[in-house]
This record gives sequence, structure tokens and C-alpha cells, in this order.
Amino acid sequence: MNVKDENTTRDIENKDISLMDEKTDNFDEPIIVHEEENINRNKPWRLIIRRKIANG
Amino acid sequence: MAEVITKTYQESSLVVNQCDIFKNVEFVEYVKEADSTIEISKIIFPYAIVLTQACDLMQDFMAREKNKVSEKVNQDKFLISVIIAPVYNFEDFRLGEHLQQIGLKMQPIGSRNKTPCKNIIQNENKRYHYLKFDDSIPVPESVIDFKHYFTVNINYLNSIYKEHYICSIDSLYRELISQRFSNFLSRIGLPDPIE
Repeated sequence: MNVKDENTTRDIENKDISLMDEKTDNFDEPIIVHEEENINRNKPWRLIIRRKIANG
Repeated sequence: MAEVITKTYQESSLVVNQCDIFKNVEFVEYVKEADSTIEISKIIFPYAIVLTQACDLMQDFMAREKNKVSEKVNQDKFLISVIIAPVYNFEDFRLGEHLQQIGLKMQPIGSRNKTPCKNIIQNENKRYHYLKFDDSIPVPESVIDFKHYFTVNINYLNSIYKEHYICSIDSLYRELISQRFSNFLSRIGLPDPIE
């Protein structure tokens, strides 16, 4: 299982992510969240958040 | 074989205590920055238990309260992080499938009527602590894996308290977990015998 594999993940834009609640003005593009399809949230699962950092 | 039912109570003070159980606790695996992109990887544990000593948690709370009303006090008793251990669903754990969603295949324990499983249920395996609650607690039959302990920021834990707190564990049961965790951490590892 490779959660970074684009073929097995889906993108969710502007999802409310607790870690990103603060200082979002440091970013200029939406948050991209990668998570497995069909997650069973009764077992530990992995969430990867990527976001572009503003230039300059 | 009768399993011990772990007694619990509901804490109303909003103060984190040793052996409080929370749901959906996030562990940050890494944060990295490359090519103008920041990437954060988190593991979300459906259930987790606080293992930091109760006195340290209480002193942290009291110190933070004092700091709110006076600038003359110091932050000597502030905690930086809190020790947490995952609480795994026992059936998933028994099958070795509890971490399959993060790419880890674990050792199956086997049938409930076999010795390895019985030992875990009777808390005779140092690494694990078996938990079974009465029906009022929305946590399934579970096991704490002391080897998988991690830490979370104390402010993060306080911030999720209202929404993620499930229950607290009664004193005798709490002290047993604390003692077994400290025994696990302080065990002496001897070299494997030469074959």
C-alpha cells in the first residue's frame, strides 16, 4: 500500500484540516489532501496533506 | 475465561488525566518542504490512551492556570508533550490486521482459546494491556500496545478534549496500566543466545 501513489488516492480541495487552521495566509493555493479510498476509520489510517508555499 | 471489565468514569473538569481515552488522535509522522510544497503526513488513531503521569498533567494544568493571571510566575512545570499509546481493536489485533491501512502487517495472535491470546487477555504479556469496557463505553474490546507509544503536543490534546474525549479509567485500573507501562519501558533486554 502506497498512500503517495496518485492512482490510489483522491484529492480533496479546501478540506478543513485542523493543522492548517492557523496562518493560512502563508499559503497561496488550496490544501491538497491525499488519503486512501474506502478508508475504514475504525483502524489507524494515514492522511497526507500537501500545499504549495507562496513564492518569495 | 472471564475478562476483567475495566471501570471508567466521565470527567467533567476538561483537565487531561493519565489513562484518559480519546478518539481520533493524530500523530504527525513527518513534515517536509520541497519544491515550494509543504507535505505533512499524519496517522490518525481511532482510539488512544494518555500515559503521562497524572501528577505531571495536573502540575501542567495548574501552572498554565497561574500563567493566565500572573506574569511573575515561570513555566517550569509546563509539559511540552504527552505520552500516548494506541488502543487497537482486539479482533483486528488478534488477526494481525490492525495496521494494514498504514502498510504494516503484524503478527497474528491466533485463536482465543490458544495460549498466546489467553496470555494477552490475562495481561501476562508485558507488551500489551487488554481492555474491555461495559456497554456504556463506545470503545470495543481493545488492547494497548506499549511498544507503539508516541507523544503529542499538550496544547493539541487540550484543543481536542471537548470533542475527542471518551472516558477516564478508574484509579486501580489506571495504576495497573501505569505500572505495566513503566515495567515495559524499564525491562532489561539481553542479547539473543548464539545459535
